[in-house]
Amino acid sequence: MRDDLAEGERALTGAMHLPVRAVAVIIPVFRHSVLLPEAIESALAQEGDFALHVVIVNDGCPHQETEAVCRAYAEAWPERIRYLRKPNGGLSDARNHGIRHVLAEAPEVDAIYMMDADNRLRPGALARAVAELDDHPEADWIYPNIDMFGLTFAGDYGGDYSLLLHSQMNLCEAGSLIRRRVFAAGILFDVSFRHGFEDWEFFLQAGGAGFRGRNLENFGFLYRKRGESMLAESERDAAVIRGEIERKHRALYRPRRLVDLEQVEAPRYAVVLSDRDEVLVMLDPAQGPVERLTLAEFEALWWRGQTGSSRYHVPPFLVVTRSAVLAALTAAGMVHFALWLLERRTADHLFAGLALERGKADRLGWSEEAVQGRMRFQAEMVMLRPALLGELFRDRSDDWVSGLAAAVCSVPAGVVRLRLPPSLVPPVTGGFLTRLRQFLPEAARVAPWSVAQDMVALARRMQGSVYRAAADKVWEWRNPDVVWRTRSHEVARVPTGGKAAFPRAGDGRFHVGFLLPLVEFGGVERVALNVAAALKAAGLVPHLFVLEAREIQLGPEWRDAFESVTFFCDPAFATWGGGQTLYDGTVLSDWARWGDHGDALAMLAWLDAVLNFHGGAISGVMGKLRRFGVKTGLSLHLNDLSPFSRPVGNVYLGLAYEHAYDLFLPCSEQLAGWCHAMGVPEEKIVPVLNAPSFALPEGVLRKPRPEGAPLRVIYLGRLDGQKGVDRLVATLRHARMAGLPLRWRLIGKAVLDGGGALPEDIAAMVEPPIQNPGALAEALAEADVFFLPSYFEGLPLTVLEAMRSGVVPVATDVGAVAEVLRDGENGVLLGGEDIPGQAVEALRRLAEDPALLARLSAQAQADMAGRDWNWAVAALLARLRPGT
Amino acid sequence: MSVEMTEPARARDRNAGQAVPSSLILVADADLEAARKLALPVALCVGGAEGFVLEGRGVPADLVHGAALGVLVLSRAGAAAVEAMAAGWLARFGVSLPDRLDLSEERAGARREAALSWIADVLLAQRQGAARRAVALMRDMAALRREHEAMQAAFARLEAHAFHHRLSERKLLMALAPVEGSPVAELPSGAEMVQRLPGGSVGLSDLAVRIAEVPQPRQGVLTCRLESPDLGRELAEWTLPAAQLSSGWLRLSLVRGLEEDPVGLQLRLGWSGAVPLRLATAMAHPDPRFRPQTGGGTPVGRHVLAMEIWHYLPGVRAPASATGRLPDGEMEAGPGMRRLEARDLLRAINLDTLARDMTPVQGGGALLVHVMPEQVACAILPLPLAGPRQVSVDVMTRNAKGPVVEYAIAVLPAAMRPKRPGALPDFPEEAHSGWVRMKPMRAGQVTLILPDLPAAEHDLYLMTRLPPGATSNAYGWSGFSSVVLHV
Repeated sequence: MRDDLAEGERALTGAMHLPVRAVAVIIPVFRHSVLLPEAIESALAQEGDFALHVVIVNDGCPHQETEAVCRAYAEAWPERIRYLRKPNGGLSDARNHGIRHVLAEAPEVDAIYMMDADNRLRPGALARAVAELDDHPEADWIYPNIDMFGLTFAGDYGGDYSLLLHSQMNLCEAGSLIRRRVFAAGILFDVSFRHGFEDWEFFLQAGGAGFRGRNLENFGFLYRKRGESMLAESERDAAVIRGEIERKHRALYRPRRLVDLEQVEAPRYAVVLSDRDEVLVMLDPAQGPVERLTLAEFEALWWRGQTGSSRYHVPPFLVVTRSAVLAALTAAGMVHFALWLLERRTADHLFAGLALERGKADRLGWSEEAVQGRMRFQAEMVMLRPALLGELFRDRSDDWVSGLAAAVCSVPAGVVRLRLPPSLVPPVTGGFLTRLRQFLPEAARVAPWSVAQDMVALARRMQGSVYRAAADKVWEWRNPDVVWRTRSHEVARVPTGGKAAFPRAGDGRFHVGFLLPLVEFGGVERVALNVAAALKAAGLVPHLFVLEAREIQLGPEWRDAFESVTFFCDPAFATWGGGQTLYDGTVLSDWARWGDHGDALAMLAWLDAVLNFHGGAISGVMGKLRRFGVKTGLSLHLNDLSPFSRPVGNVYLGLAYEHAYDLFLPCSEQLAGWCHAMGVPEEKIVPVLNAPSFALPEGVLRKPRPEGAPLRVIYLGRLDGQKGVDRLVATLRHARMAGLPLRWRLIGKAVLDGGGALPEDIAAMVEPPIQNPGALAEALAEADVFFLPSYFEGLPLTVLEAMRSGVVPVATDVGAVAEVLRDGENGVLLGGEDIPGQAVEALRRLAEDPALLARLSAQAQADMAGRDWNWAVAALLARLRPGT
Repeated sequence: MSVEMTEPARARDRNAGQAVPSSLILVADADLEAARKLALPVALCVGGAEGFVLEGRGVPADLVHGAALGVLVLSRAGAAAVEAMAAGWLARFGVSLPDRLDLSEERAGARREAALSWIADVLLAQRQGAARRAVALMRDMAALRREHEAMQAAFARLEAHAFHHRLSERKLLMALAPVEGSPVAELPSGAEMVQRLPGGSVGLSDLAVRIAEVPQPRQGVLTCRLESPDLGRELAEWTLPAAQLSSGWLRLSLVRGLEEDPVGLQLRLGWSGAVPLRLATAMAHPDPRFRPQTGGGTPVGRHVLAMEIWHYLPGVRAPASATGRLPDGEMEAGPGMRRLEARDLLRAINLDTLARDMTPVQGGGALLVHVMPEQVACAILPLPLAGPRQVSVDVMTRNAKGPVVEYAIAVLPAAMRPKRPGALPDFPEEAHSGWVRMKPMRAGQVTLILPDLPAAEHDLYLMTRLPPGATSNAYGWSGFSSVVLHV
């Protein structure tokens, strides 16, 4: 409401463009009885066409002299000076007392100036400030530079106002001229800040309510600086007071908010497109550049920042690339990842390069290496460490930087290699020349385009700039005091321990992060994919974060479902292992408990929600993410079993971090019940029940079993211990020995423990895994029975897919299988001893009783009707976005 | 803490007139009638929970606080009401209610006298307090005056000391020299150009801009104003007819260095002439604030005006450069001295060649007029000012192995400048300083006091010779420096 009020008042004032008619100067006084007359006199000496009211607030000063001075002035100037006396309440309380008096008694006052009793104003100060307000109706307060007398110092606080920078330093002196509408919106000084920085907190309130300040370079404010003062006391308690400010303004100090401010006020990157003579000033590539400059304009901007002023924002990170590279990364959904990773790597290398390589179709991967002294710096994008820029562009020679383009790179540089599907690698990367060199030796002498040459050319241009001479002189007479202006990118890093903030700003959409340790063809991945697709269909924006793997599969359906892909790229992170402590028998990794979580927090803090899909140790950051306002959810699928068949794994890890999760998302009702029994509050448990993981392609019809034909039995999945491969082999053998009319298909990949192998006759039957939905559907359409003799499961997707296709499941009663499989109604449940024996018996019955087969098939199919992922995520959606 | 007023009280306050007598007495409502009957010479103000009422109208509590002399109690009911008033007063103002005069037990006939006496006592006490404070303030001011006088005297002695020693030289702080190839900034007739000055104001004593080309025809007036946006006013102004302009540096001097109060500065140039005035520029500046701007704030190109800036002690006078122009209306206060600086001396003409081929002494800082055997060595320096009354020049042979050298100076009208190389003029006695003999590495000074000179250009002759009988001029690095003209 305050925002609306402020906006409304501002709009009204702006639309009417009313000049300031009257100004009130509020002078709180406590123990400055002798210096007070200077302040009063400088207020009375103000020139200008506006009316001036002076309000002196005696904050219960025990000095009789203060009372005498105040009364004398009030009696001498009754028409201009009002004297208010109050019990002592502190500086904030005294200011508020004066403000309330003005709001109540002086409706004609349009702006209020806060004047401390020991400071001074030049005679034209308020007139200039009033003129600035009149010229800038959008400005809500005018703040000065700080020219000190006594202990002399002049601090320049010029440049565009920035709430981002204001969050880190006291940008605006209390001695500012503030529009009435700020106070009318209810913004007052917080009386609990009795030990200083109350003005800082006041302006943060105003900034948080949507009000904005404006610096006036020649305001004419004079600050009395002495060796000991209230400010000196405040500096001693600075850390404590800052903590109070951050607690009170928690929303402002969240990483998301800081990045949003950075996007608007201090974009982090200057992306030089060397093929276009264009420099994009930006933070979030998805929101487009905040500004487009020519190289000449960028050159002037950069050198402007070198002439001794802290007024100008110059993007701290220089990126050089070409437009096609940027487009390729954007198309691959990896541009944010690329910029973020390069920014992180500038901590290790002066030059961080990104090379795009053609990988396999539907595969995505990355690697990196340092190149100095080892090889040519071959990359399509390069980012420079901020501290290097000044040295580089002020260098009198290009000898050093030329080492970047040398045959063997001689400068500290590293290259991240991103392997993309061929269709996403732009021709400019020189891939053609790379292939050509394999066949034509001459092509080897043609160096492919590398951004290094563009970087060296840019450095030469900047070194030879016409503005260089100006940077060697002293121009400003004030000291550049907005020290955070050149460190604006560090502000968003503060909450995450100094780690590079992910370059993603809010856009009004709901962004959900999916955390997976790897992305291949496993069940967890398929669940994640389908949940993401369903959430996307509901209007949310899924993003994929790969925690550990360096290479993933990324087919078209993944690229459709996820707007972006980010690799975590932390060599210290491991999903499992590396810990000495146990929770309920499951190892808690040291990374989860004690690791450096900064990069992970920075990577995820911008999201509205994160869903952890068996990411193991990443649970360690969830508590902090929650404090940043990110909703956290843990997707649960099954308990793993130790070699001694003791349940362990991700579910127990979730229990250890239950406090850090808003939502538990089990894949079955059975697992939901188990979580509840183990201590997870019911309110937190939101089952996301598994559903078939692919849509049935049109035109794929069930092929009924011909009369008299063998029973078609299909096994789909990994051939490993968990899946009961030993039982599968035994069942096959027994069925053969029994002479059952069966036709088997074994589709999957053998992953046997201890390096073992399938028997030769069985191995010869195995077909390669099928990932294509159409081929899967075809395979199921031609099967009668789906056999799954697992030792432990969650709620297997393959069972649901088989049932949907009318394939009768014959499966062990493990995990949540019995939740969907009812023995004798829509399938056969195997339990207890001698699973192969039971399986053979079940197969015999189904082979010999077509009616039974048909009945079970029909029921299985009917039971899967309507069970899809939109249905599955409905409850989750309601919890993520209440009201939708 | 602040006391929240009730809405009726706030409304009454709001509606109250602002005029409140400078003195009043507080009474409870119950005592108002009785108080009126006393016909006291002070206004009566009724105080209560809802606020304060004076002559039937509400008055702001804050004004009542400043005007209340005391509280008058005339009944028990009044006393009780005053207790309530006191509590509210303390909560609102943090101080106790002013002193009470309780006449509730006094007989009616004596009340007026008692009240008047009490009022008199209160006013007398206030008056005595004010007098004591005024005396204390006057005493403090007297002490400050004495200190100020002493400081002024000491400062004046310091200035005089600086005048007569090399301490009085203004220092070139920053030179933004013209850059080859940089464009000229044109100042059209009738237009203004504003150039922000680099650095701070403290001690600034001179600034110079460079005229790229003398306007032809030489008609027009250039006004130069030194301004401070922080002070919102002009600090000095120079008005220069075109006839006084020449290509090269135009030095604008202040009588004293700017004060210790640091502010930003800008130079505003206005020109009216037949043709635009062309000014030289220095390097390109990436910050538009430091580029010259038209009077309307539009940048004029990318290049800063070529400038030189000098500083001296803040607030202190120093002899201005002889080539510097003083602001309009400024008089030389005290000794009217102008100084020729080292680079001005290099404009001297070599008598032997009649060319400007003089060189500085090795290491700089002085003009080398190397002593010659069997002849007078002479440099002819055109004086930038007419009519000096006295000329003083520092002399020194700057090599320990050098000979004893005799130094002299002379002044003649420029019209009498030799036309043939080596033709040393005959100097009238009153125009010649006489020869001063100096041992090597000894600093000395040669002074020439002149009669009233006609208003024409004059030359200063700087001469050296060996004493009679001396033949070797080896290491004779005889130099002249620090030429001071008393005008």
